[in-house]
Amino acid sequence: MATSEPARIGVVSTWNEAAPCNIALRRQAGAAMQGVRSAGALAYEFTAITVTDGIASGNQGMRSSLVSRELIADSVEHTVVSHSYEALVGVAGCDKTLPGLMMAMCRLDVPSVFLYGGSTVPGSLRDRRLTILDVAEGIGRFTTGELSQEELNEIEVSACPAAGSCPMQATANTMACVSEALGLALPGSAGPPAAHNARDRFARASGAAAVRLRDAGIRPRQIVTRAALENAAAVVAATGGSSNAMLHLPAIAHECGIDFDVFDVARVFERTPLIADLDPVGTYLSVDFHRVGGVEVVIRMLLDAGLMDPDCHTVTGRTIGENHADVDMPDPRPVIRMVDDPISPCGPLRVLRGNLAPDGAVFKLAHVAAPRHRGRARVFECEEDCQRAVLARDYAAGDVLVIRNEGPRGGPGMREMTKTTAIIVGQGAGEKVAVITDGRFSGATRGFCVGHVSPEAALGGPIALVRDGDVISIDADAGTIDLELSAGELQARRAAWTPRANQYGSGALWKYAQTAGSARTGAVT
Amino acid sequence: MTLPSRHVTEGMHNALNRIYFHAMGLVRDDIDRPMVGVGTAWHGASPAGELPLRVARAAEEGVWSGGATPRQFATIADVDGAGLATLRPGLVTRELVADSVELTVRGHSYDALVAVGAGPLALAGLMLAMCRLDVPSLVVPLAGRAFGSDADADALAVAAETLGLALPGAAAAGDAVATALAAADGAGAGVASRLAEAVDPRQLVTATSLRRAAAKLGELDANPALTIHLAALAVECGVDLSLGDLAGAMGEAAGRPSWVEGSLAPEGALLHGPAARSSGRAQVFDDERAACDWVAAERWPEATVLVVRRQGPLGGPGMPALDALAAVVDRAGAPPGALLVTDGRAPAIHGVACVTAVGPEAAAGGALAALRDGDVVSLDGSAGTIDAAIPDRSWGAAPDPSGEPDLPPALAKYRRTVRPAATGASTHPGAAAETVRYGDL
Repeated sequence: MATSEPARIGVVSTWNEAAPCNIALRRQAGAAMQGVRSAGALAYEFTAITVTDGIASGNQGMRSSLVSRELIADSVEHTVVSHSYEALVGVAGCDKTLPGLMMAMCRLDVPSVFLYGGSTVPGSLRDRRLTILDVAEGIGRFTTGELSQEELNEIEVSACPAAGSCPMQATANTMACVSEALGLALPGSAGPPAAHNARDRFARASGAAAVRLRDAGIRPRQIVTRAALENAAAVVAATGGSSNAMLHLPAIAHECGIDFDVFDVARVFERTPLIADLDPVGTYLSVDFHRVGGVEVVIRMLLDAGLMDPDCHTVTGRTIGENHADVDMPDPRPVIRMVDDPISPCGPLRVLRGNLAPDGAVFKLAHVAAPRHRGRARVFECEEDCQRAVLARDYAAGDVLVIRNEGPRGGPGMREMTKTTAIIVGQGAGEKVAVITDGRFSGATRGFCVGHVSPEAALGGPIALVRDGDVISIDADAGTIDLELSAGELQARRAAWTPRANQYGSGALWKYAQTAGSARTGAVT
Repeated sequence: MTLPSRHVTEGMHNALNRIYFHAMGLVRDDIDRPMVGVGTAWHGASPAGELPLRVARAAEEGVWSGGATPRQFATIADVDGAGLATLRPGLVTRELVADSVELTVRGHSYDALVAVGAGPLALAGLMLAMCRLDVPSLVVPLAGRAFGSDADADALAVAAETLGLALPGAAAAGDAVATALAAADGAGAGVASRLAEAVDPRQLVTATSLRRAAAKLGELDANPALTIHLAALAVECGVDLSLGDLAGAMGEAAGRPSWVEGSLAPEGALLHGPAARSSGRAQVFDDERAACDWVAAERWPEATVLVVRRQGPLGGPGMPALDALAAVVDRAGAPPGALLVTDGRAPAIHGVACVTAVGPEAAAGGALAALRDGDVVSLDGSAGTIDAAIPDRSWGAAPDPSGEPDLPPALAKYRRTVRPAATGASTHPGAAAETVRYGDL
């Protein structure tokens, strides 16, 4: 490669003012550009969009969320290819933007460094720490009369005080941990909150690292191998990460030409202990996790226990084992437990299979005492219908609330059902009813929830055949999800089934619905 | 009518969504106002650098002063630095910009839109999104040298003004940055009043105004390829106007033909440059680079019709403009009566009649696909015909022999839904197939 001309490096961020997750990203993109320039190369900034789940939650906007992941990847691909950039730095903040940029990096396979924009800090109200979950569950407590309007208002204005993504192990922080575990981000870069100046230092270092990777010719697909994907899945398991990782890891793998579906992720979960006690599966917030060393400590512990492959390459030019050989390890308990004294012996996500989900369904063991549920189906054709019933407390203990036509093609866009499930938890019914959907849940979800049911209803999957009153049984220990109907009855219903049209006959969502694949393999296009 | 943002901001159950607005320093009164997306299509490598973002700031202030609450976002933009690119960016950029704006507005339930952009593809994409979403909208076109804008962008800015998607005078105002800032401020306030008066793009972008915009392009002697964007806007609005209708309106105003049809282009083609009769033997190329090499080596002999095909919506993909070829021809010169035929787009080339956007395109099995070196191609501009004497080689039935090209995924995806040039190379069915308008969801 000619070295006489300075290298031209693209620096992309998903900056915007839609939500606090993204507002600090241009600052960091600017610092990354400084890093590029100090390393002797030229930096060109550009931006891709975000669809923020926080705003989109519970309304039509959520259909655009997962679709935005694809459009971000396409926008970055198009810009980098068109300008022939020789390397890429990507800065992302909100849920879909992280996988979107990582997918673009793997797809382009130009030397790339990923940088997370950092999480926000928790809010506070009279010495009590607050996060978005307090608001979601506050809404539920308001509907039961436990909380007054004034108290709910107070929680609402105090819950999120600053720039940054959700301050718990929800999707953004989960994918930030993934970025380090995959080796696409500098070690330690996931941890500092958005407002901290450590982010600017990581940003400058990321810019310089991109120039070094370009000079050394180290590309994302040398980094993101099957072993690296398993490393990433292990970190999601050990930190109790978001169920969205079940979509994003297969999608990132797909960009590298690696077959790695939800069942592959699940196998890693089975062998990886849950050691980080992080909200929403556990107790502690991202600031606490960061204070005890964060994902670097988790990676070091998993490496020491032989639960991660130390030989995977990373953007430092060294292996992940080498990167973490000298990680400072003060006693991280109780935020992070020891591998031989875990919170549970396996990660808190299970992939279920059965006649209701032949291609899999994802179950999250968060705040769920008994991972078994058997009950009668209440079928809702979209999330709004279910949300209305839940707000009116129109459900009974034991019910299985089935929300369908919310899959990748059916929605279209595979919406998150977070608001609905959070309200159920707030109403104190999180353990009493199950929610099943071909849509998905946010990383912040609690309660008895099964998502990603595949094949989806829009493609005639068995979830499309469920009727009110059918008995559904779920056993997460056995890994099964079944509709208690004879094969003959299912067959008869299938013969009578007709697809249900969605509301999108045109536009970007229509386009997504033409090409989106199964949730099993990441709902990619 | 319920504003889309009310689905996010109103009611006890939306406390969860409102916390994110509080986190950005908005107070309840701000949250209760209409939410206006302020989008910028920009790119740091463009000559304008960050200027579009500065202009967007001014638009944001205008929105505040108009009594609404602005939320900025940004998309990719036109590719800059021709010659550096390994990929010739075509209309794919326009579609990515349009989809970016659409998903941002849908995703966050914004009520209205102000958008700032400089390049022609970005401007077209922003306007497509406005018509697709059909919420009160204004575009702030950055015309003039300070923004590195070109003749196409300047002409599109005038079209935007004619359509009512830009405020009067906005197109001419761009030469100085200070003027652009003032125009953006005005657009921000203007979109707030459009919200109050419920003025939606589809009330403005009609068959009449689209014809008027095409005529305006004719008066400016603009590149007829810009009517492709008008045709795409028609699809977004569900207006039954084809590329031929719009090129016809443009030609009428320009006083010369802009549209031809014939055996080589049963679905029609755009015409620009000298429109006299021209005829010659075809020299056929399947890619622009080969055509450039040939012109550089052979000096384009007289009575030779240069044909560059597989440049259409599917073939390009995305109808890339033959800018590199134009540059080579400008240097090497063209013979008298020179004729260039392509299913892509071409810039104005001095002394060359250009027949572009030929439909059906070669990659869709059009007549162009059957054309061989030596076949006679004839243009009669005043009669409005483009014909080729193609011996019976069962043309038209021949599928694209190149099959599915090996393309970057975003281009491959584009190819899966793109429609013919006659539809403005739209990538979706548009308002005619719309089930529910965004604002009514």
